[in-house]
Amino acid sequence: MANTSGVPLAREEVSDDSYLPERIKKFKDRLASAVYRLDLERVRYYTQAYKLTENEPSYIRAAMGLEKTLTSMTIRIEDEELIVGSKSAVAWGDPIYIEASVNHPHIKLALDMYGSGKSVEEALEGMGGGGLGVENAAFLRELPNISEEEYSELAKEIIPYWKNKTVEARRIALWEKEGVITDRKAIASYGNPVGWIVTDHPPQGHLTVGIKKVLDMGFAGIALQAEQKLEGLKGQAESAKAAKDFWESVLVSAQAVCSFASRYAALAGEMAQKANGQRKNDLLEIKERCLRVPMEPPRNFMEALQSIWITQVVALISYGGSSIIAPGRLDQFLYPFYRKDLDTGRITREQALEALMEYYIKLATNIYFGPNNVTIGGIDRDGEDAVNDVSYLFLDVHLRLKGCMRNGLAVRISPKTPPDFLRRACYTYRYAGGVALYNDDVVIRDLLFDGYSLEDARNYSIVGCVEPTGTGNNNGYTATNGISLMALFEAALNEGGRYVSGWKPIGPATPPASSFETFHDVKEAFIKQLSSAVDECVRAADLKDRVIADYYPLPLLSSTIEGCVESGKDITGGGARYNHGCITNGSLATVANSMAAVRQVVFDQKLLSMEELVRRLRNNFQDAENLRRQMLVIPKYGNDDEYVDELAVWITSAYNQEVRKHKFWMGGVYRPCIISVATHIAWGASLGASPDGRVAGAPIANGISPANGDERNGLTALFASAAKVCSIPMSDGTALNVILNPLTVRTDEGLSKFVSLIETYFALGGRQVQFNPMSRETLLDAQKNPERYPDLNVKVSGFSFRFIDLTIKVQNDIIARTEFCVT
Amino acid sequence: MNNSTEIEGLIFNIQRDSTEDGPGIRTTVFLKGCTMHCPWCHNPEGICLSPELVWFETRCIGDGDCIKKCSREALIRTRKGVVIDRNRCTVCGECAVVCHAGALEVLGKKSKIDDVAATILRDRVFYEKSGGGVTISGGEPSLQDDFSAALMRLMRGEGIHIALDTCGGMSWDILGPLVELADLILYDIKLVDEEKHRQYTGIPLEMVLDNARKIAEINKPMWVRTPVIPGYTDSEDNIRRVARFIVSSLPSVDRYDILAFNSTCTGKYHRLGRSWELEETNPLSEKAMEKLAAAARNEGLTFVQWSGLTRSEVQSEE
Ligand code: SF4
Ligand code: SF4
Repeated sequence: MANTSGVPLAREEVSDDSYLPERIKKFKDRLASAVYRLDLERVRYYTQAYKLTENEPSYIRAAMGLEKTLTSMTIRIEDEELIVGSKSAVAWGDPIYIEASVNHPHIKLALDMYGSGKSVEEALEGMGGGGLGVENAAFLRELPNISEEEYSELAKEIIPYWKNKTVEARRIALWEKEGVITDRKAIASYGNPVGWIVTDHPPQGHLTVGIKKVLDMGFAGIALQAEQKLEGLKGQAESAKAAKDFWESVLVSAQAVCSFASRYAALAGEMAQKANGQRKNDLLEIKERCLRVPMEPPRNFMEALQSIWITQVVALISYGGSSIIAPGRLDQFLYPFYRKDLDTGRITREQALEALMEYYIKLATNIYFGPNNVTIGGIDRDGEDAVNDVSYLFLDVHLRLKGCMRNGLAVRISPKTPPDFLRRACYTYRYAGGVALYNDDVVIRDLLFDGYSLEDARNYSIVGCVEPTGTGNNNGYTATNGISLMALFEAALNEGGRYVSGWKPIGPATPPASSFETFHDVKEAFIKQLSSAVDECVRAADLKDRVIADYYPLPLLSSTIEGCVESGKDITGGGARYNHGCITNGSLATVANSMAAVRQVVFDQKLLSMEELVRRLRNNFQDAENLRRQMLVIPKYGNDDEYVDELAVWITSAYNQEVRKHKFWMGGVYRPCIISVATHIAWGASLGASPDGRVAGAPIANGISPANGDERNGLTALFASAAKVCSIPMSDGTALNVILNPLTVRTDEGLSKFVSLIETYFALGGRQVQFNPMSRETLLDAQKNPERYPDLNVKVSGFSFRFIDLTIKVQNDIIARTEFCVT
Repeated sequence: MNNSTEIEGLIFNIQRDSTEDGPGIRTTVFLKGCTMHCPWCHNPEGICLSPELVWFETRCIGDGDCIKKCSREALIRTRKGVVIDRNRCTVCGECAVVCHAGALEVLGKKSKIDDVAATILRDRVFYEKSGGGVTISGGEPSLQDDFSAALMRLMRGEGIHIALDTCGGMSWDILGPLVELADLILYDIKLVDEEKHRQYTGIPLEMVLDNARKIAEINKPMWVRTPVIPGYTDSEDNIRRVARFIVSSLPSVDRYDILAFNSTCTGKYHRLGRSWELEETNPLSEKAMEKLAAAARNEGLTFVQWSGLTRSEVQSEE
């Protein structure tokens, strides 16, 4: 497609921005056409190791599982690769973390379909909320094609062995014993009746691996560190047994990583013998690099990149492929190597860029359903501007690849950031989404609430979707447990009952809505529901976390994290320098809008009684379309309207207090977070009609974004509303998703205006923002079902329109223009 | 004159986050009523100097509450939905109040100057960062000159950058004082052809050119704009003439914008109970716009820009 924007392209050299070397193009195409395959190697080797170590301590068993896998799994070096290492034996597969659950969705799906004649779509439908959506069908089509041996290995050996040993099985038993909840299924999926969720899988996930430590010491250095600790233990009493086991497991794991790299060196050597010309040289260089790193500290840029990548690979193998393990501040780690190589003529900017592109494409294979964030920019530990040439290189990587699957760049912005850097980051939006901007001032302030030192707070990275944590010094755990504020508000109006429970009381029995005399009573009932759900969620999460700590520690990851080797404790047991738990949620706007609606119609305008309203809601506004329409036009969050924004702030603050009053069992606090990946759809499906005019089952709002298309006053008003909410320290992150036509930044002038909008949002105290174009599907659906999108706004050429008010012809034209410019 | 805080303006829209009406991020206040009646107008609701009732087909749920409410029997239920009999309707707005679906709207609200000012000031920080401000637009803002002047004075007091968007079809006695109060004039020159100008806009061309010269004489910064309307203003000759006039007579012009036609406002015409002769007209091509911009540049203008929607790939294949 040519430039269809109607606006001339800016003078920046577009050809430069889109140039891809042939090699990278091939990698990109390979990635785009890859299909997922079931990879049983990790499960197989871990099962073998665990069977052989029945009576050993958990630390040792975890290390043996890793060692067995790293020494036995299939490895390969693909055509033209320079950076090597893969977490899976197949092009696109996961090392399955069977320790979490035997109900791993891929395994379930494969078994379900094997020989059944079912299509992937049918099997996915049948799985319900199993974690994979039907939209993944094409990608997963090869999943059921497992061999007969694989089928029987899974069904007869692997599953029977793990069945009663997984985190899931053990925490269910423990919850029953401790009386947490009787309905097992209740908490297994989003949208359940209790209004909170604790996840087994992905496991505790979501952390930054200690890349810096690996670069500084190498795994040989880490092994030495453990050895010295063991040395120091000699002659000491049995009391230090746990620490001794831990250090031994670190030693075994670190050595296993070194031999894993050596296997790649050997393979490269073998391949070099059969190769000619340039490729022969390349392979010999790969060999040399793998002999050096990650065992020893790297000496140059390419070694550093190889070390970083292979460290991520082994972390994923140890932790299970569906974890979100972020590399952290790569621009900071890589810059010294880049600078030195550039100065000595070892590398050119273009070569470094190409290597980073290769890395970035590899990163995209990490996990296919979650985000892979690389953090760049911001300030350093001393508070000085940390933007460097490698920060810009990453922007160029993202730009040239036009984004890369779910990869994201977390771009940190501080008042000291060069304006040109922010501008360049915004410029990427012409061609690709996936860049999120973070306000250092606000994030650092938040992290101080969690007990981070000022220096460590300044050195934060982004993990998962939007969650700030320290870099290589903490346990992560940023997305393990959640609540649904909207479910709890529903319970508050229904004496603890829920739509999904058939209005049977689930939460505490708060007074009936008919007894609410003032709006304050509504708030009070909500707080009671909230408080009880958070208490229960924390209790359940603590018990689950202890299962992990007792049975499935992570010595390899721990070995890279500051504090663990020093203290002799694993990250799952509180060994990291900083610890925190989290309770996430993601339906702020829906709750705020609903509260505002209740306040207006029942208490301010007295149009109907509380009892009547609840009755209408329970009936899903049946025969009350007028009332519903009335509710729809009550002020909505996202328009800089105090009537509702004030409530959004109140809810955020109440939630913050309820979460933060809980101490995390490892030390530190529970942190609040307002995000939602797809949970707003699942939670929405389990909710009855809400006072904001939303009908039963419809999605709820996502993150701290306005509910679907509710922003009627433009971005300035939206940012003003969001900034108010960001005054509350949601240190586990908030997501503000702004729907914006990429045409907005197509001219230099448009780009300047966009940049100043963001600068102002951050000056107002906004925490984070990311932009997405309106999806074609949404617009097409709105065209067909206008009644579902009364407020859907589109901005074209500076003017905002309600989409449904446009003629079909104009709508079609806008639909044709929603996508990014592809040059 | 009234106490200035009691002044009311008839406003049909206040658009925050406006990015096409002058520099930076702005809030644009659209005042109702215009002296011209161009057939291509993109804000047809801005032409009439009194409020108008409109009905939105896609929002209506058909319960008929409005029809029951209207004591003048000005609303009629037809197979195509609710039809407004504009001869009977007094635009009292009662029906819009009872329509909970928001399908009936009165365009043009009497708004207190303080309320308008408060809305504008909410985005002050955005103006500061971006070099933006407020744009007084319409319609033709000089038709409500008391209100416009009072609002501009208030904004001057607040240190907010003011752009005045005018079609120039107003006597200098009235327009002049407003020009004085503004920091920047967005000035429309649509056609440089005496006969056609009068025919299409209803205003003599000389008045528009004269006012432009006077603005330049007092050295007020100006951005001149020409809407490029197929069949009306889109000839190269026309654009060349505008450019020549700028070169010869308007030294204070910083920028010349040519704005590509689009038909996004078709629905607005329908809701006002009118058809629009341009509704089937296709957007211009990018090439055509480039050519026009080049023609203007050839006359010696260095600051020519074009913007707006052009033909999309899909359409050009058709
Ligand atoms: S505005 Fe008044 S007169 Fe006109 S249709 Fe509505 S109720 Fe009737
Ligand atoms: S009251 Fe509103 S929704 Fe009902 S028929 Fe009239 S215009 Fe339509």
